Amino acid sequence: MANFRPDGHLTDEALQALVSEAPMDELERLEAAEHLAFCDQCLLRYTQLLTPQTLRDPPAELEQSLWRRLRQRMARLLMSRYATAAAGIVLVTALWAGGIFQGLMNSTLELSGPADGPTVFQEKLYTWPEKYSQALWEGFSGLRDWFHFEKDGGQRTAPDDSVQGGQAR
Amino acid sequence: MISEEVRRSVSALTKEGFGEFVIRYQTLVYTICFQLTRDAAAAEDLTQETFLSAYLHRESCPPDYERAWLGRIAANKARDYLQSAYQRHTLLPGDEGLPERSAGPGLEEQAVSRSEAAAIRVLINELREPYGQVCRLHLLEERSPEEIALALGRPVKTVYTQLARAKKLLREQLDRREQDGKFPP
Repeated sequence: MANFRPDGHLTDEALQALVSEAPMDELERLEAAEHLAFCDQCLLRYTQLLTPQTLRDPPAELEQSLWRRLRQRMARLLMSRYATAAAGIVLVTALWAGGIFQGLMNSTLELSGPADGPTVFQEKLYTWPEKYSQALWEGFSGLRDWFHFEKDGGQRTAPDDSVQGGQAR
Repeated sequence: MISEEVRRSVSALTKEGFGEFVIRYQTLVYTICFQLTRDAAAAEDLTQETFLSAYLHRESCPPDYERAWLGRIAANKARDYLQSAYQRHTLLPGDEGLPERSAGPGLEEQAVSRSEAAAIRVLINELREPYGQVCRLHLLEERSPEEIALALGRPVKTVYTQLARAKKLLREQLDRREQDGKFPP
């Protein structure tokens, strides 16, 4: 049986063989699937042959297992997105703590600073990493003090090793 | 013609809406997967994969085209499954050029006689579809797989796959003719 016409499309006999589940070897079915995967014309001809009399009932539990699989897939997608975002935050924080951004600002100003000194924009750009670092550190220090407050049963006491701006006093 | 509620349900993104969609088309999708694979377990698995893809890409479904859209997804899933199974127990040659004789260099490297070239040309022209056209365009007209894909309206990957299988078929036919004493003529 010739499954393909000279113009490359599936023959009527091939489509009928699929629908009637006539014997077709693995290669024949593979060739048909490959063709139906891209040919709109043959796909339409094939689906038009799929009348209610030729359809097969799927297993009863198919819908239940489908929802289970869908939930698992969505959970996996969500986790991978959160993991990517978390990895990005960790990387930026690590670079920040390592002073990379400050170093980059210094290099930029050295290379591009005008003869008569930095502009207002450059000054602000130069100082913002330091300002944000300072703000971040003060925030953490505040949290730390709060924990000390709670630990001491609500009695305010000065911590022994208070740290400010990264420098232990 | 699909009902408006079911059509809206595809983009409604609600579980209940998509549930109606599954109920309406699961028989069709399962049938396509079974008729291509002839394996009930594989068909069930591929049906789920089809609806999974449909759910994840529901925005790309053209209106009033859901049946054919699902059929296309199902055919793609079945194709991938069948390709994987076929490659597992069939060695597909790489891009080795024309099939070569039992000993010695390949036909592309050695000087072939006019009669041998003519015999190979006949074999190529007699090759059955879907391999005949790709083989003629590539081996006789020296077109690239990308040009062939454009000319025939097939995906490039499909063209590469068909070329590899075509060369295997040619090799088998040449070997058969050699054994029968018909090649070289």
